[in-house]
Amino acid sequence: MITAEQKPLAEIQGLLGDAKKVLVVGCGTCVTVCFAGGDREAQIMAASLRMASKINGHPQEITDITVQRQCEWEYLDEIEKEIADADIVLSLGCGIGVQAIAEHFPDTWVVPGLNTTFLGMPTEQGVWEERCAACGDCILGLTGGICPIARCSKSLLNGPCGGSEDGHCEIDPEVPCAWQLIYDRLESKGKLDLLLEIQPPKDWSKSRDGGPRKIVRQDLRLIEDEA
Amino acid sequence: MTDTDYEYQIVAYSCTYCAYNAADLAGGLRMQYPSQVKIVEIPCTGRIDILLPLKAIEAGVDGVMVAG
Amino acid sequence: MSEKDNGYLVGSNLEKVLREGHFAVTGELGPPQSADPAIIREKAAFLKGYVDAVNITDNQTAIVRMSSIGAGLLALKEGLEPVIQMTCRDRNRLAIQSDLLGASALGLKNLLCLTGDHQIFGNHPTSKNVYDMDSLQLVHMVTEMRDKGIFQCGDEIKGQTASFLVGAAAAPFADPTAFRPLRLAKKIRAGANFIQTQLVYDVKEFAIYMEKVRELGVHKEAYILAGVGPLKSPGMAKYMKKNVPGILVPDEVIDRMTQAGKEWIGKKAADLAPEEKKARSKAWKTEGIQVCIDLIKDIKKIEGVAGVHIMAIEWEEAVKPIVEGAGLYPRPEVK
Repeated sequence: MITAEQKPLAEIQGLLGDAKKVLVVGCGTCVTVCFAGGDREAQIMAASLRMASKINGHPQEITDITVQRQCEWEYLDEIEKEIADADIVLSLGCGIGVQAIAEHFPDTWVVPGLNTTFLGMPTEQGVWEERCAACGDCILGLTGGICPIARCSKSLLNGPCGGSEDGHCEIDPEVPCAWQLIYDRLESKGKLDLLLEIQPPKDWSKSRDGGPRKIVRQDLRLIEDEA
Repeated sequence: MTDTDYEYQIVAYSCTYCAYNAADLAGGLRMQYPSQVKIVEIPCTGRIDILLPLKAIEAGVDGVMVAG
Repeated sequence: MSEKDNGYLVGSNLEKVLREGHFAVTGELGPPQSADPAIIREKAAFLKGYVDAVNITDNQTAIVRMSSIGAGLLALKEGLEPVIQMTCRDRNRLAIQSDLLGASALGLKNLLCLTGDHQIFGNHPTSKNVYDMDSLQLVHMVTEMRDKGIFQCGDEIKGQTASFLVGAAAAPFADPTAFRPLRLAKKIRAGANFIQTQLVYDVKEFAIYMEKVRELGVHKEAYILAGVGPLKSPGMAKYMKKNVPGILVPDEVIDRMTQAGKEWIGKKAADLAPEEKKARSKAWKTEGIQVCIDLIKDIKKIEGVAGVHIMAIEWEEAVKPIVEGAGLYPRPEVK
């Protein structure tokens, strides 16, 4: 899932400026699961901003609403009226949600309340870790299901650098060395020979480096005029 | 206004099985507690979410008590 | 190894020394954090005549410094043969190939391919890293440029190509240690002609590593130079043991360094008069150089070790007594 965390309140206040009517929009999907921008967080955010605006002596009218997914037009249609009513929209969706609101409601000024951080998962209660870099050319089949692109600090493809120590990466004792994990897994599966193959330089054109990406599935498209 | 005449408003979220019962019993025994304490009965202190005290504070109370 | 008509890959001094079977000595020169050529000249003067080639670091520890190629050319003019270091941290495959064409055109002949320290350790921790390739892919790319005359994309290099004696690094004691000899073999298979290792202080462990390397037979396919470096103080030894991944410092080395300053044991630096501090530092440094000499003598006995790489960064003066003390002076003259 997409993992995000809230921006500091002061930064959000700066983004909102002195707008009179603020609509906080939560998102019921990824950011709900990572406790950053769901219904509950939207309510807390709205209450916090209301109180902060009172303390500052410039009370703002701040309401909140949460949609199932900010990244689909159909769900955004449901809040068209509330959006039109607001001077500014604070999206607690990921970066996709903020952009979907901006694109769907061109007259609206929308600002982000979250920093979208990574594609990852909760590894334990309250802890999320990055797992995928969406590089567009998955190599997990070579690495025992552990991604060196997302999880090695240097995205190495041919094994650990000299900075692997006691299972962690030299950049931070809290960061596991992806290549130690890969090594251990391949060893336990009797597949160390995979590590001996020289992996050629990666085709980064399939990643963000090739420009913004797009998938078109002709089999799924609704083509209005086929004739 | 001095500190002494200010009447603090407190909301006490009280578990129905213990703290709320205790308050009830205290009432039955004609014991007094300050009128600025507003008791809110909750099914369990596990019901407490940050939103509850936040809403109380936003409404103007000076303190929130969770009793259970 | 494919070889050119003269029998050498590139005919650098380092290649000739290694090919003739001499126990090679390479040094290291860290370019300044400025554009001052005089600093390169000063450091070069300490190394000239005492090493067969000198590594010129590439933004070492991710701190911005004069470029390896620029500083390497200055060193070359001072009569030293540079080993250009190239990391994958700061350049993509376009920039690396273009810089290497330039370096080759300028007459630089040796190259050490590195992944590069993560930028978080340096003075621009908020920068974006590149890591388009890793060190192993870099080794392969420059080998193909030299031997096949092609760019990484497969296009032919029309005219003169970039030719380097290709080196790679090895970290014998980093984790997972069981994989380290295999990774060395992989780098050699990718094309590395010589290897320089991370600092060795534990000769026993290094001998075990080399035994595994010999079992793989790769010591016959590339020249392996063991990394050594003089310690400045017992504190430095302890710091490296504790904080630097892939460096083992045995207690006996720490004890030797501590004993060298026994006159001052138990005294804090703040309580020492300046001249006492100087005397203590001198005693430590003298022992540090002696420890390094003893290490070289022990390492030289290990089968499959073709030389030493002396890392005395910001202490280039130490190279002369080390090389002399280890009986490696004068350096061989090769034609």
